[in-house]
Amino acid sequence: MFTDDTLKKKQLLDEQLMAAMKAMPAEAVPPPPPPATNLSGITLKPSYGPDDIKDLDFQDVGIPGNFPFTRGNYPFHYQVEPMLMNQGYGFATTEETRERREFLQSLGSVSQGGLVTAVMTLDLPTQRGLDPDHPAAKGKVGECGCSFSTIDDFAEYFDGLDITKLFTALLAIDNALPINALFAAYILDRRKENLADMWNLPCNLFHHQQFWDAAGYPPKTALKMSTELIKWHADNMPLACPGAFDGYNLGESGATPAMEVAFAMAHTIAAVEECQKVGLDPNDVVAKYLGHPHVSQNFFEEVAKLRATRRLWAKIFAQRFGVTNPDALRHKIIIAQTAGNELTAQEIYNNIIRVTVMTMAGMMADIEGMWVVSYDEAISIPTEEAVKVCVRTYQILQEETDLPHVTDPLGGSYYVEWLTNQMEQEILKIMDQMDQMGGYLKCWESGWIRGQVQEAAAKRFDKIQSGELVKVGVNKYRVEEANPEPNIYRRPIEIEEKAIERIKKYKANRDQEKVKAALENVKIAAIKVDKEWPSSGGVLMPALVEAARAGATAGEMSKVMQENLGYGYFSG
Amino acid sequence: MKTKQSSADLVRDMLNGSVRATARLITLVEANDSSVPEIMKQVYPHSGKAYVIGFTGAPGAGKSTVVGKLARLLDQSGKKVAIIAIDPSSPFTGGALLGDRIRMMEDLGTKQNVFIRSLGSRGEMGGLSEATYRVANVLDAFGKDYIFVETVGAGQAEIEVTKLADSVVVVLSPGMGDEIQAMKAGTMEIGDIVVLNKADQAGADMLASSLKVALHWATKNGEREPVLVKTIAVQQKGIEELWKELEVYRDYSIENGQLKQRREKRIRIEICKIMEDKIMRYLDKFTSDSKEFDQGIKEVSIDNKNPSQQAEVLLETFLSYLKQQENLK
Amino acid sequence: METKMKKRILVTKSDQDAHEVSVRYLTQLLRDKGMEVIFTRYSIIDEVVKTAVEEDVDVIAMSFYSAGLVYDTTRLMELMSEQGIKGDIKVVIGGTISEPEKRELLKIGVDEVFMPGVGTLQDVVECVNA
Repeated sequence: MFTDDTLKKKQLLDEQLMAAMKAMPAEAVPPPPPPATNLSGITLKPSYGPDDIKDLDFQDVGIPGNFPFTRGNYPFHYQVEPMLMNQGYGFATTEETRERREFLQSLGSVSQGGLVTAVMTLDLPTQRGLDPDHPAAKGKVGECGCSFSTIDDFAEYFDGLDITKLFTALLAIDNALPINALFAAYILDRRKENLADMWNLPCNLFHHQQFWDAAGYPPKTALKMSTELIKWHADNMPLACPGAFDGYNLGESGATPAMEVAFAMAHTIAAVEECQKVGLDPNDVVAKYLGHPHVSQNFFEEVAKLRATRRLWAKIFAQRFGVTNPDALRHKIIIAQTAGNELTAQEIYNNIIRVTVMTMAGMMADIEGMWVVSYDEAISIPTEEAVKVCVRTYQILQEETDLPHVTDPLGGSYYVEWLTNQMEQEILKIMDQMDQMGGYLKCWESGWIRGQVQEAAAKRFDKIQSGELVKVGVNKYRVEEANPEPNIYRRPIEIEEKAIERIKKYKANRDQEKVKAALENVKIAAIKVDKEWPSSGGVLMPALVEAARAGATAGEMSKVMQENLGYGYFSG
Repeated sequence: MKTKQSSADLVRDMLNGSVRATARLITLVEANDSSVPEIMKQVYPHSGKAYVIGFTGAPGAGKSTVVGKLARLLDQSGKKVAIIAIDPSSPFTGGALLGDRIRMMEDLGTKQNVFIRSLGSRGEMGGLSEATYRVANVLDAFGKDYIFVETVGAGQAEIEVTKLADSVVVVLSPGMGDEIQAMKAGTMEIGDIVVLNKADQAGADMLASSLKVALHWATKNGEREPVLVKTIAVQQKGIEELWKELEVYRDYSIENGQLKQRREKRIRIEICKIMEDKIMRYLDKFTSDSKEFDQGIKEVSIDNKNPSQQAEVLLETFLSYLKQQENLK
Repeated sequence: METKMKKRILVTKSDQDAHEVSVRYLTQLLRDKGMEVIFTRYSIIDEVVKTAVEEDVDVIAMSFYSAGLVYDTTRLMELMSEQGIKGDIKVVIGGTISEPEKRELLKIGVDEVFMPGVGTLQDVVECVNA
């Protein structure tokens, strides 16, 4: 990237500096600083110059809006379209969640279409596939997310909203198929609108057991479920984005930034390959993927990571899969999420500063949208006052500062271009390692991926306990005076009782025979998908939609699937 | 912190069906508390009815899952089951992570009567502690029809479990190098039934064939050839078949007197273990406390006395010491 | 006769709660301290009591991140009372807990509550070992 002349000049300057330092008296010479290492294990020099990127291929950097999209997906971006405020929210039941939505709207928190998102965090029972009246749901309904299990819940939330413009996502994890089936049933039967007009994010994290200590579908089944979801959306809701490149939860569970991208990329590749088996075209499938990376406080590392992710995405899908659709080659980082695991429960207002650094990193990497997490994340479901600060964070950065004036302002920086390369190499190293070990699926089934994440988490934990990793106000500069007790949200017990009452009533007032027959069909379809794959690809989701239309609940549908497909702990 | 109860009370409560009393008794007999001889005296007459099945095999083959599923099947048929799950204790810290229960729990939860107890190997060099025999006797007296003993499955313990159990199941799975392991003498001879779990994985059919051949060749003339059962435990497949084969084996071993022989052998081992343990305790005390022993060691290192001769001399000293200690009681 | 009494701890969490880093670490530290650690996940809190009784544990250590703290702990203490074992077993709770919740837990008989960022895992180990 630089002429020999420039490099020679640089070398000369370096030598001059060395000579000048040698000439100084020993006491006046500053000692060399200890090298810093970033989270991914890359060692950093005190400063960077043209010699560090002299071998960089200019084509790899390119220009914003052009392959390989290192510098951004568009020639200009925030100048006309702000970073989207794609935060998720959700707790208690649909009424309370709806109120929160209205509150966000009143603050001016908007995403695409000028509307507040409907990205909803769902409670634990819903994620697990349990209805609120299930015995294991007791004490957990509506606590860390919204309770959703029937078509009536959808009506409660979505009636009156223009869904054709709404950014919708229900973070249902393993329950993704039944929940999305209910969404479809709601649109078809209650709204009588066209599925083809809807923009939705099914959020299928079937591989979560690689990093979470929670039961899930067996690995091969998980890939089939992911394909079912993608295929159904391709056939019925072509505007939707059923592909999830989930780096966030990996990062939260302890994966380093490089690991996060390596594992998420490997999963995406496996998922796309599975889709090919049922006849889907990567040009279409890959275009309908969204990025959900983790964004930590390591500002430059994150910027480099996100740029490297875009570059790798474009190159891998072009080279390995022969994808030519430019929309597919653009890795769209629609919900980057600020790291929850870096926030503290002590002096929680410090978290506002942490989150601001993360949000700025996202902006500097030219992402499409962000989920800015609230300062009370470490101890509670976000309160109104905390969420307000989040919205103001987006607004101030976007509308008061000069951050949005220039696209990829760090492009060309010696350090950032060097680090982007390093991150790319580090990520590829991990991906190669998995290939050496027999491939992604093997690494999943044997528990290797899980082990890597756990090891990284343990190392980080150690560093915090020892103080090597500083947490201001917690393990350094801690003041032992009583901190003002922050206003936290705890879901009142009446909420759970309301949800249980509601679902009992719902189950009593429907055609039981019709539901039973429909669930029987779900069972047949599930077994078929398990046994006759890939020729049976595409039969499960339609059966679920029919069951949803007949009045089945999410828990009932999930139960049939879990019982017939196997459900447990399969990562080693 | 625990409220104290006399051993007589505990035994009485256990015989009346108290899970808690049973658990407490297990803690005492495991620790070899001073009340143990008295406890065993009261417990023993009520034991002898339970059928003990040992489960062994390489880690990762799905042993705990198979045991859990089988226990569930029996429990649903009205049988009373107990599981003893043994994990290794650290030889350095003495601590242990007892992690078998969690894999069985996925099915068992609360709505059942299966009693699960996790034990650390507690210093036994890879084998079953003599405490395990006592724990099995307690669960027997408690009224269990079946006691499953799941071992660490690392060589020594595999052999040990054959002495305690009425029948032994070896659990293998594809892709673990088991083909090689299986051919090695030892594993083949131990199992009365061999389970090939994860039978849907690549290589299962081939492994099944090679195992059948190996089992055939390892069986001596006139002996029963171990049966191979294929399972996919996580999907409940093959568990009923395993149960059926266990019953078949049981009937067979009763009919030809083998069960009786095994049980006699077990008693013999149990008694030997108690005697060994007692002697070892005395020996430990002797070698650490006795001045004559210290002197004897010094004579070898300083006066260049011959160690094997010296050992003979010290043995005589020890035997007198032993007699003395016993007379003191 | 020598007695080999060992301290037995039940470390457990809800199977719906995916967080595990500190729990895994804790089990390791406890084992290194010479204790026998039984680690389980529960679907319904009743299972914890059954396990605690069968395994005759000295301590129950529970971790809560996402949900169920108040309900599950309250139910646990109730069941332990019913079965007459409340005084026999020490109950230690850790996780995302607020001050008012901590007060409530201590009131219903929990022995120790560990809040995020307060103390280290070593403190938990010391407390359990005491």
